[in-house]
Amino acid sequence: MNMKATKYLALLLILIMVFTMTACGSKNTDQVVGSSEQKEPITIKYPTFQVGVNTSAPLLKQNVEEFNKLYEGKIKVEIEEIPGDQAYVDKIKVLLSANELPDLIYAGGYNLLDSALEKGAVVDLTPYLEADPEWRAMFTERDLEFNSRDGKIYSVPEERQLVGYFYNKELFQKSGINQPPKTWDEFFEVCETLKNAGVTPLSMDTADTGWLTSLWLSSMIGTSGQKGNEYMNTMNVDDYMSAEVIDSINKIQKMFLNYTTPDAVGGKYENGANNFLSGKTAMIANGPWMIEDFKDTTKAPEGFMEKVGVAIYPGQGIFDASMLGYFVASKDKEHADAAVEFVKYLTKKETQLKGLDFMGRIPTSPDIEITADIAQKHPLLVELVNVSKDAIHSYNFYQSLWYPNVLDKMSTDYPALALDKMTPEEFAQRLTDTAKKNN
Amino acid sequence: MDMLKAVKELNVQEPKIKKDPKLIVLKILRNIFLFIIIAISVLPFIWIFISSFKTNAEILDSALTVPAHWSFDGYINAFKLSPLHKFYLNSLIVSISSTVLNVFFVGMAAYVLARFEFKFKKGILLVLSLSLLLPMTSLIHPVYMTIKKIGLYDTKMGLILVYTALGLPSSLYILRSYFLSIPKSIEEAAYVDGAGFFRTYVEIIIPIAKPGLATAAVLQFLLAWNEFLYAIVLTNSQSNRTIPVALSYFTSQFSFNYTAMFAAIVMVSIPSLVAYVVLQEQVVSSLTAGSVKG
Amino acid sequence: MKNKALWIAVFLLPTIIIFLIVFAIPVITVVYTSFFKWKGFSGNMSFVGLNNYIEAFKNDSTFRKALSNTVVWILLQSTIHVGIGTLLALILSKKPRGWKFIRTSYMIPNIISASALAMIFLNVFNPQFGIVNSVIQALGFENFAKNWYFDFSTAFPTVTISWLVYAGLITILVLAEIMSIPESIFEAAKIDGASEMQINLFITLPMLRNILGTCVIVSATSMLKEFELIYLTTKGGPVDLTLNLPLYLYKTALIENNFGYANMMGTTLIIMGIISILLINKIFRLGKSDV
Repeated sequence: MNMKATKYLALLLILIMVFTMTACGSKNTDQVVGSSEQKEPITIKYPTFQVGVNTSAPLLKQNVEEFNKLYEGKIKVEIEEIPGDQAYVDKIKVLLSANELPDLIYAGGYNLLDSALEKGAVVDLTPYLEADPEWRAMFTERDLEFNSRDGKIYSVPEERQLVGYFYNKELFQKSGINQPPKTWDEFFEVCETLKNAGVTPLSMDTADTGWLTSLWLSSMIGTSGQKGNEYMNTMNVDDYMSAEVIDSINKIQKMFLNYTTPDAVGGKYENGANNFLSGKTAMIANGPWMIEDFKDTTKAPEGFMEKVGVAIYPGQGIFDASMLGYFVASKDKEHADAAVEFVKYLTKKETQLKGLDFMGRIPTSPDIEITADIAQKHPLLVELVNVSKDAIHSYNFYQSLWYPNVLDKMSTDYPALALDKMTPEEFAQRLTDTAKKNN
Repeated sequence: MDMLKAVKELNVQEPKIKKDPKLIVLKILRNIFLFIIIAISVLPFIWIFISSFKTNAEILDSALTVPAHWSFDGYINAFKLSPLHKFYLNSLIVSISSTVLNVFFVGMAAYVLARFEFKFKKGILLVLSLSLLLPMTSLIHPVYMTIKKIGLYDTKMGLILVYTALGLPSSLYILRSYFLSIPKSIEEAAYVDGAGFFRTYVEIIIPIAKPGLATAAVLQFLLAWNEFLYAIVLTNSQSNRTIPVALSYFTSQFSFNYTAMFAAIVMVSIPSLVAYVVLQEQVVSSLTAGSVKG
Repeated sequence: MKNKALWIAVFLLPTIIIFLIVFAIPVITVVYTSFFKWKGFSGNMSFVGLNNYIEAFKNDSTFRKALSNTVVWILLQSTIHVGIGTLLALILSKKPRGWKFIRTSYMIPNIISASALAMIFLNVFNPQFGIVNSVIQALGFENFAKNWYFDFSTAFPTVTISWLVYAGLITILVLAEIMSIPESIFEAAKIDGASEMQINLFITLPMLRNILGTCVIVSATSMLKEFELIYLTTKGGPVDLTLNLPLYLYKTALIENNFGYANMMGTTLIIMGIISILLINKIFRLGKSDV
């Protein structure tokens, strides 16, 4: 009898040990480091999704290290890694509800700024920009306006988003196509030609927000005329019933039904990407961050890079978007100042040039020259910048402009559209109803 | 017992009766059923294992092929892209601790709720059952606030506490069920022998309920092991994060590395499987070691 | 047994404390705020009574679809999945050749995380290169190769099947219970001349009453919470064919920021759960000891 009791007691003891071990051993050691120095550095908390396989991860890591070294003893940037885009948005929202936003947040394409403003948690950057004209000159007026609300500038971007589409030159030539289509009618002719030559024309997808599909949709609307173009530059629209939108949805349906792979319906980005990278499809709408993949031999065959060309959209359109960028939510001036220092560091000329050199990230300022060195390293990027000069219409990304629940609705409704179980009008109506729920 | 053995030996002529065609058909059906079960359980894991040696293109191109080159790049990259090893230890600590706590505490409550009648018993059980029904989504905000207020944000203890609570309802029901099926006569015999409440519980009930306890433990462990949302929301630093978080490092909106992800899954799953097998052996051997409820 | 009451309290206390800390406030918040209009982060809440509920049941076809999907899945999970799990447990209890291996392998899908599982399923059912379609096409039944997760006719069943992997948990629960039934009972029955089938039906199953009831409760209520696997595969699509209430709740709360409406759904789920538990308790006469 005693043996069993002691066994039980032993278990209890282990329990207590585990308790104390974990409770003590894992509390943040911030407090433990005594203030033996004269002044403790100000810690800036920055949660980010740019980790892991995210293409910006290495660059961010480097920037943080350099900044911390430069400002040693004065400011310390503490990164919180949040892998997964939805997890990032979820966590920021939880923090927002508890009124505990971190010092720095990158809104980058996720409509977080307006939610944060509702809580009144965002620091006005206008005075900082006014005090530093050199810094302010890094951004175009259009960018700053996009990042303003009620005349106050709340965030600044760190790159210029320029997106066309990539096409497989080899497949084009084999099918007898000499150059990318200039009009949407030509575009569909090209698709038909490719199809007849036994090539699947397009990579499309519907999962997440249906990025690969929706870029085409946005371009169709954005090049349809002045009204359409304005529409694709307006945030938080709640009416999708215009003629140009419905017509574009119609075209998308045609593309789903005739010109893409069977796994486009329900497909994720990587399925569409893989189809292009393995030469199964001839065209994919995506941005310059994909260029690295063309060299990656675990994803594409050797020498694939040479086969890829980049073009602007039919109708002379291109995504040339202002993005929501970094905003500051510190609670006191000291932290706010420090956070702004870091933002300045991330967006100043040298850092942007580094980004350009390192990963082909296009700088915000149109004044930054692309040197011959960089041109050699990133030929496809240079090609993109060159063809972009032919574009007449520029527009923004649906993912940045439209309500999150609309994005979700698109993703779940695309399959119905693609399988001809829903008409373009119904699709547009459902998006409109969903958008209106936000009011 | 000897009588029974003798009688059994007399009945050893069973095999002849089994030639009944109906039984053979049943046996075949049974085997097909088992085969399907094994297939759907094991094949996916084998696929992941083989794919962890393929390139991304190969993985996405076809399901049934063997890698052209068996490369360990995925395994190397898994460590480069994510802090996998750090998180593994954290997952172990958090999962084991919450399992021990959960089974320990909820076991006591389940015993009392199964065995004794007292005021408010039905009410208490119903209220505790509410926790079975709360959607995770509704819990995130309040739990975050509570944990923050207690001062357990970004600690393993915070996660342990939350996981212990999350598994409360299912452990409660499972353990209560096992306790209900233990004949009351056993306790009555113990009391007659002069054993007190606590003694009876520890020395008589618990050993009998071991399979139930072990099962509840397995479920609780799995819950803690696979939980992702709270792991992200309630922790900040790498010293406290768990494996499910690590697995998210391998895909983002425009980037993917399936090879590394599958390698990570393999590395994480194999030790868990081994541990499970060992644990099961323990449980089974303690069962067959002596008559349990006789 | 003097201190019985004291012991009872001591045994209950930790669990109740844990419950209060973690669950009490959320439950109250969920139910309370379901009667408010509460959107976004401005903190404005206005009392609207039963409006959220009326709106949902009358005008929101997505809600109704999610609700009906949830109910159907509750019924399917508590019958088919529990049935299959129990059947496997019965078979394994006889210890056929390799039973340990089977028991272990059935747990494998549960040890891999949901995101890994979802990825596996997506790849298995991929219309272009998935195993299922590859095999179908190899066998020559080209027409049967479908887009399993996204075809209107196959989406719902495919998601239903994908939950089968969780039936492994049922198996270990039931198996543990079977293995603690004393051999002597089975031997006595065999001596009396009972066949395998009769033993299963008239002796084993009744003794499993409690655990079976528990399994049904756990399965049914898990359908009131589970959405991860759906979210990671179809996200509720196509349209809303595979949407269930927990997933709709998640979207309403975290994508639309409509917290009042989401909590209305939460309260609905709680009510559904209570009804289910009470019903199942009645059917299985849970709570009554065997002896």
